[in-house]
Parts: sequence; structure tokens; C-alpha cells
Amino acid sequence: MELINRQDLAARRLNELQELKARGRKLAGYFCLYVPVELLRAAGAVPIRLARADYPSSQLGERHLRADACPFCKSSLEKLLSDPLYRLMDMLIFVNTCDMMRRLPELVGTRVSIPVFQLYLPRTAEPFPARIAEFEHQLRRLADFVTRLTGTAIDDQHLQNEIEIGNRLRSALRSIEALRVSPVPLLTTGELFDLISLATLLEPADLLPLIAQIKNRATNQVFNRQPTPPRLLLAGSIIAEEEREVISLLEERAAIVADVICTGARFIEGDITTGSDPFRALAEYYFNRIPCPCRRPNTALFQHIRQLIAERQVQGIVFQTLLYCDPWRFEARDLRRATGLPMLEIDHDYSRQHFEQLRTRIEAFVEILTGAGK
Amino acid sequence: MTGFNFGYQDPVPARITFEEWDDLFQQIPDELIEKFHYFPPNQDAWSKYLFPPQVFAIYGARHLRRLKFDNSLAALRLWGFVNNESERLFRARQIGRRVIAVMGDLGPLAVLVNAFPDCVPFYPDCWWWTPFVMESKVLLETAARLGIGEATCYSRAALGAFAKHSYFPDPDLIIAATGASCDDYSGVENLVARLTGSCLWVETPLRQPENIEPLSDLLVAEYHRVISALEELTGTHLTESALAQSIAQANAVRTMTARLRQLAYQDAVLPALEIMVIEFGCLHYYSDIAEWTAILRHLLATAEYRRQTRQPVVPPEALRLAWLTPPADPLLLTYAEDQGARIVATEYVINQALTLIDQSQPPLTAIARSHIDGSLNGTSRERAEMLIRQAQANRAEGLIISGILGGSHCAMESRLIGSLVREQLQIPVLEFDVAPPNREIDRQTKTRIDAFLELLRSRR
Repeated sequence: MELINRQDLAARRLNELQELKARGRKLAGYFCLYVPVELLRAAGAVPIRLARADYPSSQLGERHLRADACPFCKSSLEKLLSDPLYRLMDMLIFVNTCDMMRRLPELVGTRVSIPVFQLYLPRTAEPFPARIAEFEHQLRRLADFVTRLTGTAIDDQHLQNEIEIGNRLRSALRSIEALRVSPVPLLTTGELFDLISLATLLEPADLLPLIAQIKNRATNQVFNRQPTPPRLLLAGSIIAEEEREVISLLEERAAIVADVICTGARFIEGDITTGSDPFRALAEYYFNRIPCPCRRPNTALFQHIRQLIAERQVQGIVFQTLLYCDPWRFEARDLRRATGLPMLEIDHDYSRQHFEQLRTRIEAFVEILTGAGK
Repeated sequence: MTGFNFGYQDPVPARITFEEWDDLFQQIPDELIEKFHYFPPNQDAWSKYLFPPQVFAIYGARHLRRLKFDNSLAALRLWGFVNNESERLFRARQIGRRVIAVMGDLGPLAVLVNAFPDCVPFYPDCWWWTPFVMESKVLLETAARLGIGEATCYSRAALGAFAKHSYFPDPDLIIAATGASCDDYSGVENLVARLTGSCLWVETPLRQPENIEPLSDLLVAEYHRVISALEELTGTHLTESALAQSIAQANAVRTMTARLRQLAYQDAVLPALEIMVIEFGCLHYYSDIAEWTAILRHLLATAEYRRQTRQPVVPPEALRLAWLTPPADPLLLTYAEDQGARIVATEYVINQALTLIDQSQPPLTAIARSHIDGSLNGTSRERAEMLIRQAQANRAEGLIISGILGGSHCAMESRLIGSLVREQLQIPVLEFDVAPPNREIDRQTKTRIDAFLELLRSRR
């Protein structure tokens, strides 16, 4: 039984967003998990994470970018020209995480006339006061940008409320995320990714009851899953909504019990401090998130991975990267060495051409982990 | 007029081959060879560096055999000094100087390091030319074994150089700037930090024109950390006057470099290869600012003399090219000139190292401001405009973009910059990726350059 009908919910949400827009609400599209959605909401905008990508749009993106640009960026640029959801956006917020995302807003500005804001996140991750102060300053600049477009000034109380709602949402998602860790996982990672993707599309008020409902159904459901599948950690580049097939393919043979994907569990980690200066609290939380691999040093990411491996008894790593995704690709060797676990490396450009080959590689990898081939 | 030239009479300006330089070298008096030493005022025998390119080719710089060089004494001095950098760094260690790797910031960190006594800054980034100059993939293969393989910027050679321990001594301190530069090199720095076990990270912010003051404050805070680390390393307290003096030295280098560029681009008195090498000297002065300054003075006098006496080294009527991104293979510049072109505008991503540091401002703020002006820190449009201004002033007839497959900023910037240049200047643009190190330029690239120059010729 399917726990979540993401596509149906997304289609309904698209209609809702069209209505909201018609009523004058401003839609704020963003790409990266370092964007403080609480702030966007407090300024009266509707934040929507734009994490769709596929092969046809990536190919069309080569009209604007070289073939060796990141497939996600190529696809995003094309979707801003053609995808109905993307075209609803009243503003776009980018973060200078990797080089390609850092340069994408400029190209977007030459192709579409949507106001763009580039949030500068210090690339260095050590939390020195001047760095966090600058990031807080950046958040205030973002607030000015959004309020100019929405006409809604941000007051501290409203922002505090949004922070509390955000914390509740992350907490609820974390509690459901824990269901995939049990020996017979009660929730698949595919389902978790669906929920997280909905959390970036729907209003928290609509999503919280849905999470409770799903949690209830999941815990009471009798699963017909492999009793002791190999336990995997999924790492690597952003996984777009259209890429669920890869996760499904993995979950046919194994259980993904942990991930460090920015459209996965990294989105729901931690809570924002409440009761203090809300801008400061947002700056500290977002600056200090488990670092994207492009931040320096990114040792905290490795520590986080090692902790997940130990706590969740991970047996193998699936490391998937988009072609030309330097920040992740450069980590492959050290990740293998740091964890000492078998690792399956997959690089792709959203094409499905090698899907059957991938299936074979996954089967072989699982055989290695289970010793079935001996 | 030979007063600037130590009594030596340069031949009529020409671009000469490796063999020709070897012959010419025989005519340089022994006492003149004795004059040039690195780390002045030191005059010890070990610090001589005036050798013909052949000496360096014997030690592995094989590609020198295929390049063409300016035939002046000043240019020979330049090449001897630049090719001698590895030796100079090992000597620095032997004579008790501290060797500081400054990575990724493209300019300002060397100014800070030079303000400390007996500290020698060097730029591992510039080892990206080594695989090409050596015609060897050893450094690239080493980088691949450490995690950075093909389809990445050739700057990965720097990682290989760290791992080999034979291109420069293990630094006393590694300072790595990251942020608004490029992912490829940030990845190199990250793996260097893991390989060596320590690294001082420095933030390089994105340029936001409406937000310069807070960004300067951030950079100043970063520089204070660098200064603390250097003070701890050297046991010396940095004084404001020492910093001001270092800024003045950097500005002297930048002023001379800017003038040399102008002379080369407008009067064709220096070839493209030498000018590229000179321009990169603004990053770290090839690990010896005192001698580098003297070399620039010598080059400048040579170039000014050629201008006054109307003795260009490249035909002024050659096809005028703008060039974006420094060619990893220096042979490309030699080839373009051999085929009847000359370079009149460049954007080699290091233009910030040419901007003068404002000596009327507090020193750290002034360094920060000049850093924020960096060409890679801003938008691609700003980079394009920088190039367009030069290209327009020097009447460039075409633009060559020499990219790198998988180089992150090349992938995102090249088309946009190319199209802006095409639109605003109405000139043709040729874009190609530089092939991996080899003896010769690959046939396809040669054909494309030939066809491009033919097109430019037909437009005259």
C-alpha cells in the first residue's frame, strides 16, 4: 500500500498556488537548504523549493550552458523557462554553495525577468563571530528583498512563531525518519524523500497532520519487505524529485537507513534556538548546518557520516553524484577511506540509458554486502 | 642605449627559439651572469639564476624546447628567475626562512606574508603549469590517486605537487582562501589540508557592490587570524609600518606590471608569453619580491626603450586578440603569435592583483578592498566588462577563450562572457578546451585557431 501520493498532492498544490498567486500572495522559489524558509514565511511569501530536474530539461539547458555544467543547474535553468510550477515564482533565492549554483542566478537573470536574490553564505564553515555576523547581515538583506516584494514587514514575534512552526515540522519529520532505521524498516527512504519534498511545497499546517497520519499508518502496517536487508547510507549530490527511481531501485534489494542528501535527511536536522534574537538564531542555525561538502573544512560532514554509520549499523555506502559535481566527487576517495565500508559509486546526468546496467551494479553490490556471491 | 642593461647590448628585438637562446647566451659576459642573484642582497654563488632555458629543460622543463622567447637580457633574467623557483624555495628553507603556501586568494595573502621578516610566500596554484612545462602527467596522475581525477581544472597538479614533496619544501604554514573563487581549486585545497594535516582557512566573499563595507570588515577579521598565525610562527609582532611597506612594495610591482601590459598590448614590445608570466608574478612575486621588483624594472626599461626606438618584438600589424582564462598550455600563446596574431587584452582571473592597494586607508581595509575587487569574486558580466574595456581600447579583432573541460567556472561563465563580448564589440569568439599536457598542441585545436585567424584576416 502506498503511504504517500506525492504526485497527487503536488498537483493539488499547484492549483492552490495558482489561486494564492491570483489573490496577490508572492511565491518565493529557492534551491538550497541554506535558505531560511522561516524568514520568507514571516515576510508573507510562500516558499517553494525548486528541486525538480530531469534529462530532457537538462539537455535543453545546454542551449544556455556548456555540456560540462552541472545537470541540475542546466535543468533548473530550462525549467524556469518552461515548468508550470517554476513559472509561478515571483522571486528566486539562490545561495553561493557550489560554483555552479553561485553563477546560476546571473544566467537566470539573462533569461527570465523574475527578481533574484543571492544569499551569500560564507564558504568557510568554522563558526567565527565575524562570519556569523556577516551571514546574519545577509539574512537582513534577504528580509529587505522579500518584504519589498511582499509589502509585509517582518516583526520579531511573527518570525519567532515561524521558527517554532519550522522546529515542529522538522521534529515531526525526524520522528518519522526514525522509522526507516528499524531492522524491518517501517518507512522507506523513497517515502521519506517524498515527505521531505512535500515539506518544501506545502504549508506546515497542512503537512503536520499528514505526517501524523502517515506515521500511524506506517507503524501499524504489515510489511512484506525483506527481513534483514543490507543497511545502506546514501550520500552524494542533490536527488531531484524525478530521481525517485534510483532510490526505488536500491530499495528493491536493500534498506537505506541513513542519508546525507540535501533533499533528504539533512533538511530536517536540528532545531533553531527560540527566545533569543530571531535573526541571530536563524543565522547560527543555518550557518552551522551539517556542512554541504563545498564548505571548508567539511570535517563535520564526515563526523556526521561516521556517527550515522555507527548508530545505524550501516554496512555499505551508495555514493551518487551528478556529472561535474565537484564538491561531492572530490570526496569519494576520502569517504571510502574514512568509513572503511564498501562503496558503490554512481555518477549520472539524469539519463535513464544505463538504468539496467545500474540495476546489475546494485545487485552485485548487495551480493557483496550479503556474501551471497560466495 | 644600454645603460639600463648592465652594459650589454640587446640584439634587435625578436622572438627566438630555445636553440637560438642557447647560442645567444654564449655572448653574455661571465661577469654579467655573476650579477644576478636571488634573495638580494645575498651574493652567494648558490643563488645565481641567469641560465638559458636549456638548463631548465635538462631538469625536466621539456616544453621550453617548443616555446619562443623574447631575446632581451631582461627576458632571459625573467625566465631564469621563474624557472628557478623550486630551487629558490628549497634554498629558503636551508637558510632559515619560513616558507608559507598561500593558496587560492589570488593576491592579498602574499602582501601579509611579506610584511613578516624571513617569510617567503609562494603560490602552489601556479604549479598548474608544471605538467605542461614538463610534458608529464605525473602530477595529474598523483592528484587522481588522491581523489581529483580528469574533467577537472589542471590546478589539481598542485595537489600532486604537495604529495610528491619534491617541487617545494613542505610549507611551514598553509593558508587557503576559499569562497568566491572556484570549486575545483577549493577541492584541491581541501585535499591538501587533509594530506598535510593542517591548513588555515580564509574566507573570500562574493562581491556585492552594495555591501562592500561589511564584506571588508569580514575580510579584515579573516586577515587578523592570518596575522596571528604568522606572529605565532615567527615570534614577531606585525607593525603597521611593516605592513605599509609591504603594501608599497606590492603596489610598485602592480604599477610596473600594469605599465608593461600596456606597452605590450599597445606597442607590441613584449610577447604574450612573457607578459602572462609577468602578470602572474603579481600573485606572489615568484617567492622573492626584492629580486622580482628588480627584474620588472629591467623589463620595463627594455620595453620603454623599444617603444621609444620603435622596435616592436611582434609585428604591430598582427591580428589583435583578446584572451580569456590563462592558457594552461603556454605553447598556445607561442602558436597564436607564430600564426600572425598578437595579444592586446587579457582576463586571466588575476586582475585584482593589478589593482593598487589604497595607501591612504588603514592597511588591512585597503588590502580587503582590493581583494573584493577580484575578477573571480564578482559576476561574469563584470569579468566580461573588464575584458571588453581593454579589448575596445586596444581594438581587439577577436576573442579566444581557452577553457578547461570540467573547470567549474569555465562551464558556467564562458558562454555568457563570449556572448557579451560578441554582442558589444561585434567580434568573433573562439572557444576551446585546452587538451591535457602533450608535446604539441593537438591538431584539432591548431586547425580551429588557424581557421579563426583566417576569419579575422578576412574581416579586415
